[in-house]
Amino acid sequence: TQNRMQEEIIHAEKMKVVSEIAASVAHEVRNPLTSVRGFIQLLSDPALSDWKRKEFSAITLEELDRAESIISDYLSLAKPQIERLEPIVLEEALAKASQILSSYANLQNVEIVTDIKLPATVYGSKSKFRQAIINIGKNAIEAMPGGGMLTLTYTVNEPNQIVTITIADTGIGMNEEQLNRLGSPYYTTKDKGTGLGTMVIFSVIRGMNGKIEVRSKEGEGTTYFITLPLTQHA
Amino acid sequence: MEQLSDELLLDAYHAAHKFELDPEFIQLLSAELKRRQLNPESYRNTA
Repeated sequence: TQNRMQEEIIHAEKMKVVSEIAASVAHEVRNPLTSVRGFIQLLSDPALSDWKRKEFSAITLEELDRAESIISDYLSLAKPQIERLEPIVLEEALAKASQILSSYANLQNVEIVTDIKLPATVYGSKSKFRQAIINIGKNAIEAMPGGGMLTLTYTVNEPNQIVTITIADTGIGMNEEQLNRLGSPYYTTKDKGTGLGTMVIFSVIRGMNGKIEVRSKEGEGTTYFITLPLTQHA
Repeated sequence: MEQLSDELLLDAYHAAHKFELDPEFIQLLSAELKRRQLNPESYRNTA
């Protein structure tokens, strides 16, 4: 059935994103491990004073924690998750997504800026929503081969009971034709793209009764505006 | 690494050189020095 096929596409796209982010995670984990090794070697100097020994030990633990958190963020993306419809706390979901993207962003010299002021809750599948945000973020990072800025923010419109999430990059942008074809299955501008990632984004947001608007200008960047119904606070 | 004081970072950098530790480790230390705009030559031994 069509639904089953859609699920399979979503799953395949998720695995593709997971494998593409893997290299940057491996790279990011190397640094803290190199530090841990180095500081342990420094600790073996018998002439080292007590307070320095303490400080170096503390740094060693900190670097290990950093490596661990990079790995666990990544694993939480890769792990299969039961799909459950539930309230999604937006600030948490966006923070998590930007954490997962951070090593990928670092590798490409992209700075992620999140500007979140108000609490907001939407309704849907946490894992699918996160995947949609990660797909957008990953595309945004790839649109900035020379580095740049990825901004994640949202505004809450209480009277209309909607929230608008804005995801903006300072990348290469798209022309009118590319913009019009964005989200159609198999349409891609990337060498290694499948043209399904953006389709997944559109279908996930539509499934949450949301709307997507994309604005882009060649050489200036692309901005996604995602409008979702706000869930009443319990 | 960000949590290390300037003094200890300089210290670690010079010790890493002295003991000829992994060049990648030295590279990480010197990148952090650069980020803090510290000059490794301004070092005084406080051991």
